[in-house]
Amino acid sequence: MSVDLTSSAAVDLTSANGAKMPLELPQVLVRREGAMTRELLLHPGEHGLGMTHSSMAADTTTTATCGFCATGCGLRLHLREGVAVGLTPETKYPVNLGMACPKGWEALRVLDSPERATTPLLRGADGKHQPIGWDQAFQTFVEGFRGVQERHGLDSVAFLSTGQIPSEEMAFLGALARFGMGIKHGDGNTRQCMATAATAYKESFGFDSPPYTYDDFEKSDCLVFIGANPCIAHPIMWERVLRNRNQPEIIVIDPRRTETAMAATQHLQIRPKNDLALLYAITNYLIQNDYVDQDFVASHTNGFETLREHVAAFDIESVARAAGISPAAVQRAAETIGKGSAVSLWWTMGVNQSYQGTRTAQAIINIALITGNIGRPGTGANSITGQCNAMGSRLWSNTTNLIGHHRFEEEADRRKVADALGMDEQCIPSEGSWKYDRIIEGVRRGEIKGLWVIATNPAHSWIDQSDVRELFGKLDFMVVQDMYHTTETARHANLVLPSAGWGEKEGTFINSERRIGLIKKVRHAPGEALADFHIFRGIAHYWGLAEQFAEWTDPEAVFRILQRLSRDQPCDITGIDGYRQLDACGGVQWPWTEQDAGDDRSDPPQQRRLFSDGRFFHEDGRAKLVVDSVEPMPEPPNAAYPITLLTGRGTVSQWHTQTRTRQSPVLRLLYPNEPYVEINPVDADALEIDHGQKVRVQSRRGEVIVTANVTATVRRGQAFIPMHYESTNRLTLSHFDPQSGQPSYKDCAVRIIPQSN
Amino acid sequence: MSSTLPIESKSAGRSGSSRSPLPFSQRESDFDLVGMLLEQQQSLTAVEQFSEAHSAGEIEPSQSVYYRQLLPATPPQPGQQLAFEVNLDSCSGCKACVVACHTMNGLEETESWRKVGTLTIGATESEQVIEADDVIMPTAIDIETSPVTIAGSGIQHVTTACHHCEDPGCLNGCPVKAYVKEPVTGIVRHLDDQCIGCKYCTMMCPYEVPKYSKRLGIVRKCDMCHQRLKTGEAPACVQSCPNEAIAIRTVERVRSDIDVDERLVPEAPLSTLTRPTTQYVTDRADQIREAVPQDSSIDEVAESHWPLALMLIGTEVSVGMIALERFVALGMWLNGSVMPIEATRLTALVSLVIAMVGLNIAPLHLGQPLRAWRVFLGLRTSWLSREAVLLGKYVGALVLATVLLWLPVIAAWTPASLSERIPQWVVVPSWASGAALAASLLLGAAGLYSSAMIYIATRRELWRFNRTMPRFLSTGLIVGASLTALTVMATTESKTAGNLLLLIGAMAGAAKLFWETGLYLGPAKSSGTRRSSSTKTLDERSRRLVQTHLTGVSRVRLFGGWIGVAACMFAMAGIAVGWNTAALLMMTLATVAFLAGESSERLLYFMSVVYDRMPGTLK
Repeated sequence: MSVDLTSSAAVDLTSANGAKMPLELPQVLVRREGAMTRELLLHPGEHGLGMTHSSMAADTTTTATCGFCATGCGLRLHLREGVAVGLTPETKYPVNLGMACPKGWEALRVLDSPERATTPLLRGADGKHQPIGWDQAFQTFVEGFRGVQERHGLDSVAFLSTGQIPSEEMAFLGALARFGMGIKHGDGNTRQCMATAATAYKESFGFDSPPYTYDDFEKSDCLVFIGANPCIAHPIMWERVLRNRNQPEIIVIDPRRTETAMAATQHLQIRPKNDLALLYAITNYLIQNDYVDQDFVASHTNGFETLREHVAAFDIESVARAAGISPAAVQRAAETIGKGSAVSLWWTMGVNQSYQGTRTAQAIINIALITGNIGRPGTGANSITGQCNAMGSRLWSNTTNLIGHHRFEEEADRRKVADALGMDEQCIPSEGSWKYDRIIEGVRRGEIKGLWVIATNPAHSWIDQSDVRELFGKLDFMVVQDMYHTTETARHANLVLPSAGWGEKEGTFINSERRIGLIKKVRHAPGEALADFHIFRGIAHYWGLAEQFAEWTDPEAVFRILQRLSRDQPCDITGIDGYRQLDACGGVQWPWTEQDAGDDRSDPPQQRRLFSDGRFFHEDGRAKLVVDSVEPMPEPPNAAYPITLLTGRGTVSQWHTQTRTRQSPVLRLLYPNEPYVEINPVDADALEIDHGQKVRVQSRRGEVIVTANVTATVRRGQAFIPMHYESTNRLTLSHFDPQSGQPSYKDCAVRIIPQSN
Repeated sequence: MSSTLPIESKSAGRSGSSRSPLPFSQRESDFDLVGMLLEQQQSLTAVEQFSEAHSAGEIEPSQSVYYRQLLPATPPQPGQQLAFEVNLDSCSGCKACVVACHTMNGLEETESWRKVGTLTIGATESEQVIEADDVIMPTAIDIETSPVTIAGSGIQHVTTACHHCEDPGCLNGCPVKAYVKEPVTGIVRHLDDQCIGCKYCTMMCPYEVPKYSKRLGIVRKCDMCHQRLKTGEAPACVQSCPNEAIAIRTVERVRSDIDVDERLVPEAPLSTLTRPTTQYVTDRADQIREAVPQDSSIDEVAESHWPLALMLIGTEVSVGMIALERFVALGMWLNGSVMPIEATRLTALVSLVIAMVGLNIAPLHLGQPLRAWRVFLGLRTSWLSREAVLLGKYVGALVLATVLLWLPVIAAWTPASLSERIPQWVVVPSWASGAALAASLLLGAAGLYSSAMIYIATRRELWRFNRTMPRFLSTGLIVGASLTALTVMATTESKTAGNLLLLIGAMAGAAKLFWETGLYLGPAKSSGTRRSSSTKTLDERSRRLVQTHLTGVSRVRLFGGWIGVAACMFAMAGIAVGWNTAALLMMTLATVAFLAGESSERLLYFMSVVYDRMPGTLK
């Protein structure tokens, strides 16, 4: 066989000229072919797929946005007769450039599970769930919640929603519940992940507007990650960091020595909850050493003087000492930020899930603003979002903000929304919902008696879990709408409504960089499971709201409603030419207005960032520099509970409460199936704990038995348990960021004792 | 319904708006709302709506833009081969490679040819931490400038697949030539249709690469996606790594520079065993050299291989009986007496039966027993082939010997009509049975030696020569002694022979038990202080497995062994006082107890083995 070495075409790397072939024994003695060999045969896949196994052979392909995290990767679905038989990451999608993390690779696999809910389930007198038909389910739903409302008042029914369903369903739920069913209080699990970032942006920029595009990862010469571990939580964003050709400085501020910290050029391994003081000290240093972009500050911000005065009290020396790191390291980091020409600052849950999260996020925003690191390639104060549609939830959930990020309190906003929806203005309430924690508190106080939970799992994920589980017992009527009937929350439900999942329905997600991406219906939902969209339609009709929601016939129709709602908002998407355009051009970042699109409805550029003109969304166009006092953690370690417990993401292959990821056999291979606690070797030694041994971790609220993972990635006096295990939140302390209402999961005091057996 | 509900539009909307495509409730109409929703749910429209943009047929894999530079430009030259190169500094531990391998190769539910383990870098022992005791937490972190630094701490993920070794253990061990090292690429390929499912390669490969599939009854392993490489496409793992941490490179085929203590990563098997070709590259080699796998010293009970254990015990007892019987016969001959033919006859028969039982259990171990006839193909390199062939011949010789020994008895029972038909010239020479027995003995001994060499050849530390050979050879001696004593004493009055055999059994049994107790059955010799996991030896780890996870088996091992020894002594006492029946009962008891004890010994041999391995994670 001859090989063309000069051509750039694919070269057969397995054959060579003149290679001596050894004598081959006849097939009867050595069977080189046969049924088992054929099982693994690959064939040219066409459609750009390369060599493809027959199980994944496709007659066509189509792209959908992944339904796990907010990176929003494009997945190439292999379709055979319209049904997805497999997937590979989409090469041309501008987000992930042909890559995906294990969750994305297994996105279809988790749909096939005996744990899927296939019919509505009603709890009988014996306490067991029995299958019922949809007609009875809708009737039970309506009678149940109406009954609660009649007995306890309209406000006694609340809903808890999610960042996992498409914007169209989110909007439907929010409008149906609050404009139709008279439900006053509803919030999403996004309160547990992104509320802080949203609140911080809103106050600082005048709108909840992450300003960046993923291209910024590649364009920075200095990246600062605060409470973020993209290697594990957002591996495809880390891919983009590694594609940065500027040999950037990477500064990681994190109490744990994570994979990201390992890959950093500087790691500030501070004690937990020293981040706000540290950021203020850095800000102070930047101001003292003239690293401030005075022109930008003067013409585009408010509050600089207050900021300067406030941070003056934070000198590097004492802040560093309190944080347990060397002042020189802080100074070096501050110098790096000050001297960088394109500095981007990124944060995730380490900041958001904190009792001072909003102020910490704003301290990050302040640094970007005063150094003029915003609106240019490679810059920004950038919140990395958690869930696939947390960004959609922030715009469309219609809970604490009026749908489309309007204000309930503003009459003009209510009128605008009513017009856009074609609904009576009277149906729009004039105040926002309670936040999640207040709704839970309402259950405790007997104010909430009916609860509708959609695609989230608070019995696992809510802080101080045992308390929540007990509270669910106080409800008169609880409905859980989920793909799986086995979630910890579904077990509490009176009525379980079976949902179709990602891949079984249509709609759009908004990813971290404001990119609206499409999901597609490429799998048959199991049994009688219905898309949440269809469930909402059913409820609308059974509740008697058919006319009000007459236009809400299918997801794309609702998308057009959302476009109307977005008009003249910073998130204006009136220029998008429907789902087909979203599909054809790899998603569209908001804003994309009619004016942007022009008459020819052209495709938008792929990488767009906000604030290139220095105009922010406050009325005066200026960003606000916000500062606040630094508070100590409410439950510091003491002699009885000497260790600070951190929680967070464990591995790439685990997603939140694992209702989905545990359904994939191959994902289960990729993470410890038993819960574990990371503990410092010195502490382990002092406590006489061996690596791999079972230990008891006790807080004032509960106890868990886990495996000790003795590792120097956590510092002395600290321990880390991944949030994915059911027992983790038995330990956490119920406390919240006052501005955003987000739970502070990463600071409670525990003790660890070896399990004697 | 309550009139307090503000949005109760039932009556208002009853007439049905022209905008409404649906009636309100199916309760009030014939329209089947639920049916419509379910129908809409089940109709898939992605192709209709969107496929146009995607239907353009591209032959060239679109991913190629990303992996071009991760492949060599040309096939390897003579003397070279293809190898994986892993950049540890780029690997962030996402494990996409594992899932991509699983998905793109169409593997089974939990099958992937890649695995990612975790190394913990940094202080694992208190003395390594430079810290004042009064400081609750470390005081300084800065990576380069800080005086007290734990910069060396952290974690490192290690992705591993088949290392396509220069001297592949799997290939060398395979009894049926189901492995091929491709001449051009050096890829070690497994021939799935040739594999008999003996799992020997899973022992021979130090890296635990071949994995057995119950469904197929064969092992499968990484083939470096040779079908992709053939078209110039990158292997699944290479093209799926977001960080471009895995590449295919051309390396020299025979590297002479492997140090005797070289390992791919800490606690991995010694590279001298099979000379793996994978290259792990990093700028932080110093750090990684000091790292410890997350699953270091966390061992699990290994596969019991019980059919193999029973087969080994059976053949060893069988050969042991022949050997001991011949040994006693030799002694008697030297003493001027003769071993009665009845004793030899019965011993040979019992020995044959035991060997047959053992060898018939063995195929239960095979996933594809019908393909096992090719087992001779590996004679040149595989001890398994040698064992199979030798033990086969041993049984053949033993059958012959037994038939010859029993010929007079058979002849006596043969009807005259039949025996008259045998021509006169057919004579069985008197030395024939003796010769056949001698041949069995030689073949059996060689077979047993091969049996032991099967495991010694794996070069697992705990299966080394002086741990394996004594265990394997002593079983025949111990059980063989009590059983042969039984067969001899049942057929003759030779007290000396019986006593000698029982003494051998008791002494060998006791000696072996003492030896094993010192090795792994008893408590650790030095109690010592708590030691870091990294310093635990294989022996300690194996002992810990036995004492935490295998207490049942080890109890049977000890009780069986000691009861056997005691029963031998009682039997000797019985012989001495002339209680022959009691003595025979005791010998039977000794045999049963020894069999149980030795079988448990062999199960422990397999189940308690620990060895160096590639890094893993907590389970």
